[in-house]
Amino acid sequence: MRERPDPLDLVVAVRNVLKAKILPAVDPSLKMDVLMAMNALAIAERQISAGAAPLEAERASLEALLGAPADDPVAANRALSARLRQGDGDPGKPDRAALRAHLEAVARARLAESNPRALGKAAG
Amino acid sequence: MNETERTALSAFLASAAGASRATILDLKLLSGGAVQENWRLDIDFADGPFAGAHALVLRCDSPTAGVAISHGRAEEFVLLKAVFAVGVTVPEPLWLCTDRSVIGRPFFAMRRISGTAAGHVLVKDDGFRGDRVALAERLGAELARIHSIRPPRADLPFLPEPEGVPAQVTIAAHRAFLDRHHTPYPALEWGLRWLERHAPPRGEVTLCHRDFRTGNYMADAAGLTGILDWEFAGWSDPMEDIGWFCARCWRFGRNDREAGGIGARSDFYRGYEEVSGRPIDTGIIRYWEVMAHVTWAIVAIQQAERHLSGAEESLLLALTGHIVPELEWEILRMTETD
Repeated sequence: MRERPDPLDLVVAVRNVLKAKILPAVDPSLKMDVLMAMNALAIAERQISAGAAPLEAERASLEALLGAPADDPVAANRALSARLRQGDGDPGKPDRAALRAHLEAVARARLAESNPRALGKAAG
Repeated sequence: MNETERTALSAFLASAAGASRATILDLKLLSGGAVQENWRLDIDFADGPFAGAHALVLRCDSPTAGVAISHGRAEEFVLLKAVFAVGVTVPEPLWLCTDRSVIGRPFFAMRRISGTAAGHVLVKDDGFRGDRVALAERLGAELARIHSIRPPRADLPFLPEPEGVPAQVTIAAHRAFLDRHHTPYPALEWGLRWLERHAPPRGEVTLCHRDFRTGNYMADAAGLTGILDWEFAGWSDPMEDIGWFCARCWRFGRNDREAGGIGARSDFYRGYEEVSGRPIDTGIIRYWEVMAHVTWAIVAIQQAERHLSGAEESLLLALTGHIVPELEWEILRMTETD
């Protein structure tokens, strides 16, 4: 068995130290670096917490759209890109709604990890 | 810079300024990068038309920059000259030195300007950048002056020929990048397809700054002091710059102020229209705001790649990659109905 605390616990602990102790004490010229470090750890924390679920959901959705296995995410997303480029998502095309729903779901999941505050902002 | 270089530098500047002697009062490295270096220079000319003390900045090619960009500073100098001549507020470019025997690389001297360029400071409600309405109007007027420069220009031969439809040229360049990049971006493909379907025809092509936004100009308590960062300038559709300035991704959180987070669109447009003498077709600005988000997403991917590839370890570059999902989200939102 692996020793605990696990990566998520460690990342949270480091971020808390940065926030509670380092940020208030650091020279103003380094403040931006500490804030960037905290932001990077927060992204890591959210990606670790989310685990494989968003990627699994993306894979299932890609398989439904493409009608083929999507075990290679790069290849599957290249195929999706090619379809979008040739106009399969244009207004009036049969797959427009499904393509759009897929892109929105994936974008929402990606944004939830990279910058969840923007999800609220964009809705307003 | 060593003593030999300082001596050669003051001799060059004295001769350029028509003075019998120049005394370097202060010379300090401001910032060094992979492409260029900026030096803060205080200098005193003994006599001649520039007699007296001057606060300058030296912009040099980086010592490690390869041959490929050896014309970098020379081109920037000519560009600054061209926009300064039509009344754009930029640090006045003074003298260019392409003789490598002086300090070992090309450089030019320009006047030093004061203020801050930090976007998150400029959008705040304090007196840092003077009156907001006046600043938005002024920036519109500045942009119209930049757009008064039209091709062909014999002094700007390094700018690629303005061929084809500007929007389609940009779309093709972005697709070519995505095709050779290791990771596909379907949401950006969606945006590019929308841009292709809605692309405006070629209209008047002008000089465009192509990074004209809050964060790339300097202002102090009295207002604008200079437009910076000309490295992306080129011939394009002038509405591209207006969309770039107003795009939501460049408002530094102040989404209520649609002109660069500092003012109302109407203030910015009014300043532009007063100088250009032509009304802005506001219907087309949304198009260029979608383009702004797609272009910024591509640039963000490229910046993150500098970190990912190991070329330049940087937390800032790494985090720039995580801006992409927000841009994708905004692109999808803006292109929902048509």
